[in-house]
This record gives sequence, structure tokens and C-alpha cells, in this order.
Amino acid sequence: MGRIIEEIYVWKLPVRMYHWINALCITVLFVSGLYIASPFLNPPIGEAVWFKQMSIFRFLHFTAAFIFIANYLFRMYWALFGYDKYARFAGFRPWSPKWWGKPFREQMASYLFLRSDEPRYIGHNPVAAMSYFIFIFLGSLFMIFTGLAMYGENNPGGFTDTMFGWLIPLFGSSYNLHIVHHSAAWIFPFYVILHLYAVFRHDVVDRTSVTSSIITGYKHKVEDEPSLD
Amino acid sequence: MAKKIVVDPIPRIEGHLRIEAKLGENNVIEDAYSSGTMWRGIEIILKGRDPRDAWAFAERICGVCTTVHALASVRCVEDALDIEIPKNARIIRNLMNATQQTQDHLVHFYHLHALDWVDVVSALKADPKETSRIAQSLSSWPKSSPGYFNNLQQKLVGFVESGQLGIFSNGYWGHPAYKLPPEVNLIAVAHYLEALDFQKEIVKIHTVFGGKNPHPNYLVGGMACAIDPNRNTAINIEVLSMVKKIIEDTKVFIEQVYIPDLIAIAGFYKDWLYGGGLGNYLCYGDFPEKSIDDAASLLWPRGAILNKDLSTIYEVDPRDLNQVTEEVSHSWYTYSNGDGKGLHPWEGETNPKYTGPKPPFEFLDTDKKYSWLKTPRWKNNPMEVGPLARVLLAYAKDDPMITETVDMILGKLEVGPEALFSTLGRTAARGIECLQTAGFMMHYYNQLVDNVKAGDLRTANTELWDPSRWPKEAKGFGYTEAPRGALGHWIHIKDGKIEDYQIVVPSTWNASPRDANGAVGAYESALAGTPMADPGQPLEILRTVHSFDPCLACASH
Amino acid sequence: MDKQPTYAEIFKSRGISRRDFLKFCGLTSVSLRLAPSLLPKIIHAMETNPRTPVIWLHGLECTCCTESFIRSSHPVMADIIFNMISLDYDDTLSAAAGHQLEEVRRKIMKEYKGQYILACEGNAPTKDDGVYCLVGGDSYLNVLKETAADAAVVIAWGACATFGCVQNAAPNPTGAVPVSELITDKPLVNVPGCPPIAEVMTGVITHYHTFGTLPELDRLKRPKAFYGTRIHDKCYRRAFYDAGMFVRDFDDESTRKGWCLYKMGCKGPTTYNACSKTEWNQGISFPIGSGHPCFGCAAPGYWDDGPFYTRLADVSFLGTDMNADRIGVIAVGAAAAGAAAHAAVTAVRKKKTDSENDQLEG
Ligand code: HEM
Ligand code: HEM
Ligand code: NFV
Ligand code: SF4
Ligand code: SF4
Ligand code: F3S
Ligand SMILES: [Mg+2]
Repeated sequence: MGRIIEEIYVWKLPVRMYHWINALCITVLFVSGLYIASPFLNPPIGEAVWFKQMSIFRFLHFTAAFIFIANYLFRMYWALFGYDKYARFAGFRPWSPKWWGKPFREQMASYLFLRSDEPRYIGHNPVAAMSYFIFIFLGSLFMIFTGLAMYGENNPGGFTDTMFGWLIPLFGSSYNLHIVHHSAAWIFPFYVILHLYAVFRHDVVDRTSVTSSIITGYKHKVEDEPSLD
Repeated sequence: MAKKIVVDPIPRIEGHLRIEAKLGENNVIEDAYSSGTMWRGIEIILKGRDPRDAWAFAERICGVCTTVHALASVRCVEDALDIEIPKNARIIRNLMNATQQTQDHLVHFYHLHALDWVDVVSALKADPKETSRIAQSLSSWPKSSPGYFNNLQQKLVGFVESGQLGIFSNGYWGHPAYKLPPEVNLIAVAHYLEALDFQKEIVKIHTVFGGKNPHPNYLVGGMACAIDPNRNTAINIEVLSMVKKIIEDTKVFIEQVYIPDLIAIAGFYKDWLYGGGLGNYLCYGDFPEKSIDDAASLLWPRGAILNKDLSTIYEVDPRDLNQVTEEVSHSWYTYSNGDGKGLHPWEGETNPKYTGPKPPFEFLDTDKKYSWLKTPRWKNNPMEVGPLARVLLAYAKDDPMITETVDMILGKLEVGPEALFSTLGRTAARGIECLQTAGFMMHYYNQLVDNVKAGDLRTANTELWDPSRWPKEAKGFGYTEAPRGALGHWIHIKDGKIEDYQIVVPSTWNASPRDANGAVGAYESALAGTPMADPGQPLEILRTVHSFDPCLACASH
Repeated sequence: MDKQPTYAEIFKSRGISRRDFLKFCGLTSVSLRLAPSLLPKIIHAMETNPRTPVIWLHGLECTCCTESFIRSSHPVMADIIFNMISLDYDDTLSAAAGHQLEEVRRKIMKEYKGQYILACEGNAPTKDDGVYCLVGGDSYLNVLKETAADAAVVIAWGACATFGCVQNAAPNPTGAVPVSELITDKPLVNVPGCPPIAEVMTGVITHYHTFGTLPELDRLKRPKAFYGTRIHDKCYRRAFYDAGMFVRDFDDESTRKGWCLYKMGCKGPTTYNACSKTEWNQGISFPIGSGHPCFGCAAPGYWDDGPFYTRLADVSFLGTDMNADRIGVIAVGAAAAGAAAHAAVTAVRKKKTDSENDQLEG
């Protein structure tokens, strides 16, 4: 059984900060978003649980939204210009057939139990990278754009409306915009479940301490496990 | 050879109607063909939707008789699901319905029909003093001084001299069929404008209870408007007082303007007795004093009259599969079991198939299919529906209020009841009815106030609001007497959704094309036999067709 | 073409004093809620503009837009048709019929080429050569295109003309399409609503006539003056919304307390209209004011936005009727189940390899 032979500093502080701020924001956004859609804290007697109840949930949603956006922008900056080989976009080449070739297929095959051995990565494995791209990079972008378009409706002709309001006719109506924003919200819990499972599983299977890595920053290199990085 | 004339578009109606007429000797109409030239497919669109939403779709069938389709729709859903609405809701619906009848009839008389009898240009020649004298002899309506009429006439002169005649452009001014003296024409023009201004007041009652007009809101199970005399967040005494004031003003306007004008104008056309038509009349009845299921509690009775015979009243059951049917032998639809076979609406089909000439065209193929209207029949009889049917039925039943008004008007015109079977009879019946519904409004207002006073604030029954509590399958029938006549909605609900929805509309009865046996509908029958003074100017056709108050968006839906 | 009289001339010819004329201008500006500084401009406009000819066509519709129009309280209908516009063609009110009426339309199109307003109520069916709406023996589709060709401005009245309305709801049996999809080469104003509020309709006409330009429009070509903000932003029940006090049942105390109708499916938060400000029929009430949720009658495609009395539409998904939340819960559940299954397989596999390893080592 493998013995720890090396500790690698994978997740620099900015990435870890980003990760946890993001996780917190998404949680708040999802819960407050669902609350806005359906204010379930409205008991049969009809009294609001606390004063300005709906406003508070909307306030939480919008506050979390702006932190979420800033955090997202920061991560983009870090990916493009950060001095951080594991957190860069550099290795992510979905347009290249090579990227989809061996590494992706091998990782996928492993997940599908078509291979008994696990390819090893220090940074993101290609399947994880792809899921981050689809769910987090694109998903967040979609939530941000549709969210800001709706937000702009509070002040027609204002800055946000001018920048993002053009999305409304694109989706047909303000109502449709709510529907797509709301529907897309479900991407996140879906993603988180798979993400958590993948993280814990990797920990158990490869004993690389992936889980703690997003807190401490360190992953372990284990004996007999050749790195594909 | 018979000459064929076409009148299309026909203005001052709702929707798109086309009349083709064959003229015989002396330009007498031998045969008329009534074609509805629009169709939207509301029955198809309603399929698969939530029955609680149906009223809103159905209401959009027509904005002129706005309300009535919504009413028939909520009634058919409630009938299917067996929902009993609260007393307040019944009263409010009755009040809204009476409001609709009153306003619709008023607008019809002045804005849709009057110009068939009133020569606007002739009013320029009127003597304001004489006009004032006549007006004051007709009623105690205060706006009748010489100065008032003089002022109006000056406006009219300026308008005509501007060269832009607007809605009066190319009218049949100076046509020999116009018989009113200039002074009566001027009175009518004055009241055209006053009614135009006043009609918007009446409908405010819809706004109070339904939030807007046209197209006020309804609710399956009752009404959404809340009543509470001790709150500023619901209908309270301030709002009710406004309703009361509107009702009072409305009654005065109908009594002092509409009815006197009707009598005055009709007096000059007593010998224009064309347009009687079928002589068969059908009513579903309306204005339930108790439940809508209780036909005995309807203030407007249900029944049918055949061949102008007022001594026999036939019972009508719109749920009976053999009574009300629709066929499509001359309509642009197909039925799976043959177009000439009448189907009861619960078994009805709506499969459009246009087979008319490709537009643009000169004439329709009137031997074949020629309309977007189906052909409804009652026990295979073509029937006329509407104010005349209702007034005749009430008259035949000796309803005291109607009998008194009918006799008063006939007396003033010095004609007998047989004069009712005519174009003008239809127009007079509408006025008689309007007077009655204006009275109903106060009746319902009082009922509402009494009920609220007794502590009943409920306006909706939501026990069966949730579709999970509905039967798997149910059928319902909803009806109302709309301004233009008997209206029925038949619904089939399955698994919480609309499986089928069929609508048979007053104007479908009246404007329908021939049936498989060649029997004509009410318009076609009423037009036959009318001589035209000038076939190039279809004034006579307009008169008779307008007397039915056509609504083609309704008729074809 | 003869020179047409201006408002001022019309007033004069009718023996109305200049004082009354100025008063009229003032009232118009008040009814339009304009800044007082604009008054001189209105006076000037009315002194110099002739009445603009209007051709008002009806396609597939219900005439509720006309009905709404004649409910206008400021300005009133008589004022509009006698003093502001020349409503030369309108099937609902015109005296002339048949070819006499069509003659008026042709005359206006010729004599006022490029100067008349085309007001459209209803829309045109496009399926089967447009046979679902025929006017004077031709398809409405043709009539509309022909009449639009020389119009100065096209006004699309109501939900039908702007966004399609009920006949355009699924499955749209007649292929009814909004006017803006057929007339693309003219300045066009969309005035949505089913129907639009009377004063909004007349406001558009008066604005054009008074200022000589179209009102400023938003992305969907709606005048900002009336459609600039959502119902929800001006709703008097908004305080209850913010506080989280919602009507839960139409037969409930909360309805009489006038709480927010959000949970009853109110579409005020997504509908742009003047209802909660101008209100209906001279400010008497509006749907929400009378206890009924807004169902978004001025919004594009509102007929197909799911059942009216629910907040989130039941979007049809793979032939079933499930809403986004139901689908979301199922997807998340599936993900969890998938993860659990995957974990189980992993565990079995791992046990196998471990024991193999043990054997090897042992
Ligand atoms: C809303 C919840 C979460 C979201 C949206 C989320 C998202 C992400 C993203 C986007 C990354 C990639 C990091 C980057 O490159 O910037 C990541 C990595 C990671 N996350 Fe999360 N995360 C969530 C919750 C969690 C939790 C609760 C844990 C641990 C218990 C966790 C553990 C990790 C680990 C270990 C990695 C590194 C994985 C690797 O080596 O590929 N995450 N997460
Ligand atoms: C993970 C990201 C997010 C999730 C899960 C999320 C979720 C939701 C949900 C479920 C709703 C309710 C939609 C409805 O039914 O009407 C909502 C509404 C909304 N969200 Fe988000 N959202 C996210 C991000 C954002 C962002 C970045 C913004 C940007 C400002 C935003 C702005 C809004 C706005 C303005 C509303 C409408 C609030 C209202 O109706 O008053 N959201 N969100
Ligand atoms: N025909 C008809 Fe209606 C009426 N009255 C409806 O049922 O007009 Ni539009
Ligand atoms: S928009 Fe609505 S109100 Fe206007 S014509 Fe269409 S259906 Fe009628
Ligand atoms: S009633 Fe409707 S428009 Fe008014 S505050 Fe509530 S959700 Fe908004
Ligand atoms: S339903 Fe229509 S009338 Fe106004 S409140 Fe909503 S836009
Ligand atoms: Mg039908």
C-alpha cells in the first residue's frame, strides 16, 4: 500500500479562498432564489415570520450575487494571469482532439469502471475540468447574465439594464427570463452532489487527501502511483 | 337574370361579416347568404389547458360582449366540478351581466345602428329652436336647450367644413330611405355623442368587481374581489356608493335618452316593416335568483317559440343530446361522420377546412361551403336568439315588467304586437330589454348590500380549487343570455385538463349559413324580401343585419 | 391635396375662444402628465397641425381594443375623433359599408400617401394564404400589407397586434403573427395589453399628434411613458410583498386584507404596463386592485406561460407536465442515486482488488 512520499502545494490561497466563497455564495443564492420563487415561510395564519421577510431574502440573493460575480471575475483573472500552474486554464484545451483523446477517455473509462487503474493528476483531471467548465464556468456565466438582466429591470434605462437588458427580448419576456434563471439554478445542487462524491471517492481510492487539499492546499503523492500530470 | 351584390366589409359590427344577396325584380332581395370570414380556433386552443384558466381565453372571444364568455365559461367549469358559488358571487355576476347588457345595448343603438336611420348631414339643416322643442316634448333630459343644439350644430358645421369627415366619410347621406326630419337627426347626433361619453361610465361597475373593462376578471368558484365594509383594502361603502351612483345615472340615461329616442326614431319608420325572418325564437334564460342550476329561479326565462306562435312555449334542455346541435354542411369544417349530421356540443368537433375560393375573389361559392360559422339547430329548427327572442318569450309568459314596457312602446307607436316581428321590432326589443336590465342593476345592488349587511362577506368557494380534488372525468354546461342571445359553453374535463370545449354563440345561431336541408338562418331569412332603393347603396341590408347586432368574432371564435 | 385646417383653425371655426383653446391644450398636457414647460409646444402643435388621417384595420381580434379606446376619459373619444385625428376608416364606427368603405381606404392611401397613421387591431393569419381572415374578398394579410405600404406610422394595438394574443397561443391554428413580423419597414409602436388601457391608447395618438414624433420606445417598441416599468414596481400591494404577506386562498382573510397576490400567480413582477399607476376606467381599479392576480396580459406570449394561478409555469418536459423544481429535484435525486451506485460499485471493486493484493502479498 502506498506511502506518502511527497506533499505538493496544489491549491494556493487565492484558489482556496475563491472555492469557499463560491461554495458559500452558491448555497445562499440557491436557497434564497428558491425562497424568492416560492416564499414558503408564509404560514397558514398568514403572518410574515419577520418584518421585511421577502426583502431580506431578495437582499441576501443580490448581495450573494454580487460577491459571487466578483469572486467569479477574480477566478477568471487568476486562471488567465495568476502565477499558478494548477489553477490556470492553460491545460484545458477542449477544442483540441488531443485533449479529448487519451487523457479524457482514460479518466472517463476509469470512472465507468472500464479500467481498473486510476489515472493520477495533481491538478484537475480532464473530466473534472470539463465539469467545472460546463457547470461552474458556463453555468455561473448564465446565472450572472440572466440574473443581471432581471436585476436591471428594477431600474429600466439604468446601467445594469443598459448592459444586460437586451437579454430580455432574446428570451421572449421577463417571465421567460425568470423561468430559465430558475431552471438553471438546479445545475448547482446537481453539480455539487457529483462534485462531493468525486472528491470523497478520490480520497478513498487514491488516498491523495484531495478533500483536505481544498482547505490546506496540499495534496499527497503516494508511492507506486505514477503521476500522469 | 338575378343580380348579385356583395356587402363586405360590413362596418358597425364586431368582426368580419360578408353578405351576398341575389336581387330579383324591383331590386327585392331574393336570397341572401351570410358568411363569417374570420376564425381563430379558440376551441382548439383551449384543449389541454387548465379549466380554471378557460374563462380568460374564452373572454377574449369578444371584447364587445366582454364578460359573457367568461361568465359562461366559469359556469360550465363549476357545473362540471359541482361547485356552488357564494351568494355574493352570484349577485356580483348578475350585476356585472346586467351592466354588460345595458352598456352593450346602448352602444349598439347609438354607435352601431343609429346611422342606418339617422342622416348626420341632414342635421346641419335643423332649426335649433325647433330641435329643442321636440327634444323637450320627448323627455325631461336637461341637455335640450336651443343653445345646446345650436352649439352642437356649429361644431358639426365646422367638422363638415374641415373636409375631413372621419367616420362619416362616404356614408349614405341623402339616401331616400332616410326619413327623419333634420331636427330629429340633430337630436340623434347630440345623443350619439352623449352616449359615446356616457357608455364609459356604466362599465366602471366591471372595473370595481373585475378590475378592468373590457375583459374584467372572473374566477372559478366565485369572484376574486373581496368585500369588507370595515377595511380600506376591499370593496367598502365608498366603492359601493360609486356603483350605486353609476346605476342611478345609467337608469336616467336609458329612461330619458335611449327610450325616447327609440320611440321618436321608430315613429318615422313605422312602415318599414321588413326583416321579420324566421319566427322561431330560443332562450336559455339568465339572471338566477338562486343557483344557476335552478331554471325556475331565472329572471329571464328559458324556452322556445316556433312560427311566431306565442301561445305555445317549448321546453328547452341544452344538455339533451338531441336538442342543440351544430352541423357543417355549408361551413368550412369537416366532421368525421359526415358534415350534414348535427352534433351536440358534448360530441362536437372543430376541424377547419377552407374550401372557398382563393383570395382575392369576387363571389363565394354559396352553393357549397361559404362560412366560418357552423350551423346550430334546435331540434332541427333554425332559431333566432337575442333581445327579440327574450322579449317575446317574456311577453308570451306575461312577465309583468316586459308586458308593461312592450305595451307602452307599442302604444306610443300606435302599432300592434305583430310589428315586433321585424327589423324595427328587434331594435325596439333591445331598448325594452335595456330598460329592464338597467332596473336589474339596482335590484342586484340592493341584494348585495343586504347580504353584506347580514354579515356575509364570502365571494369565492375554493373547496375544489385544487385539481387533485376533482373527479377524473367530468362534463359541464355553462350558459348565459348574452346581449346578442343565448350563449352556451360545453366542457369536458379529463385528468384536470380540458379534453374538449365547444362554444355555441348567439351570433352563430343568427348568422349561420344554410343547413343540409337548405333551411336558412336568421340573417338570411330576415334579409329575403327586402326591396332596395339603390342596389349600389346597401342601406337596407345594413339596417336588418345591424338589428341583430352582429358579432362575428363571437360567432366563429 | 387641400391644406387641412389646424386645431386652432378648427377651434376658431367652431366659435371656441382662444382662451378655451389654451385651456384645452393645458388639459391635454395634464392628461398626458407632461411637464408644464411643454405647454407652449402643445399649443403650437395644435395651432399648426391638421387632423392626421387614421386607417384603423381589424384582423383576427375581438374588438376589445376599440372598446377600450372609446372608454378614454382624457381625452374623451369625441375630442379625439373630432379634434385630433380623422378616423376615416374603422370597421367598428364607420358609416359606410362594402365598396364605399373600401373606397375611403384607397382615397386616404392615395391622398395622404406617407402621412396617415395605420392603426392595427388584431393580427393576420398567415397559414393557408390567410383564409382565416378575409376582408372584402381579399385576405387580411394582403389588406394589411397594402395599407401599410404608404403609412407614416404603424400602431399595433393590443396583445393581438403586438405579440399575437389568444389566437397565437399554442397550437396557433391559423398561423396568426404579430404585425411587427409582417411590417418591418415602417416606424411601429407596440401598445400591448388585452386590451391596453384606454388613456394609454389615446395617449399614444395625442403624443404623436402633439409632438409630431413617436413617443420614445423601449426594446419591444413600447412607449416608455406607459410601459417603462413593471406593474409590481408601482403596485400598492408591494409593501405586503416585501414583508412576505401573501394571499394564499381566494376565500381567505388575507384577500380582504389586500395582501400580495404573488403566490396566487401574480405576473405583476414580470409585466410591463401602466395598470398599477394609471389604473383602468378613469382610475377606478385594476386587476390586482380588485383581488385578481395579474396574468400578464401585456406581456409577450403570456397565454402559454403555464396556468395563470401558479407562480412557476408547468413547463412541459418529455411529454409530462412537470415544473422546473420538480425536474430539478429529480435530477438532483438521480445524481445522488448515481453517486451512491457508483460508490457501491467502487467499494465492491476495491474489495476485490484489495483481496487480490492481499493474496499476492500473502
Ligand atoms: C457549492 C459547493 C461547491 C462548489 C460550487 C465547488 C466548486 C469547486 C470548483 C469550481 C473547484 C475547482 C477549483 C478551481 O479550480 O478553482 C472545486 C475543487 C475542489 N472542491 Fe469544491 N465546490 C463546492 C464544495 C466543496 C466541498 C464542500 C468540498 C469538500 C468537502 C469541496 C472540495 C473540493 C476539492 C477537494 C477540490 C479540488 C478538486 C480537485 O483536485 O480537482 N468542494 N470545487
Ligand atoms: C448560483 C447562482 C444563482 C442561483 C442558484 C440563483 C437562483 C435564483 C432563483 C431560483 C430565483 C427565483 C426565480 C423565479 O422563480 O422568479 C432567482 C431570482 C433572481 N436572481 Fe438568482 N440565482 C443565482 C445567481 C444570480 C445572480 C448572479 C444574480 C445577479 C444579480 C441573480 C439575480 C436574481 C434576480 C434579480 C432574481 C429575481 C428576484 C425577484 O424576482 O425579485 N441571481 N435566482
Ligand atoms: N354573438 C355574440 Fe357575443 C354577444 N352578445 C356572445 O356570446 O358578441 Ni361579441
Ligand atoms: S388584444 Fe385582447 S383585447 Fe385587444 S383585440 Fe386582442 S384579444 Fe381583444
Ligand atoms: S400583487 Fe402582484 S404586482 Fe402587486 S406586489 Fe404582489 S406580486 Fe407584485
Ligand atoms: S393582467 Fe393585464 S390589465 Fe394589467 S394588471 Fe396585468 S397587465
Ligand atoms: Mg363552436
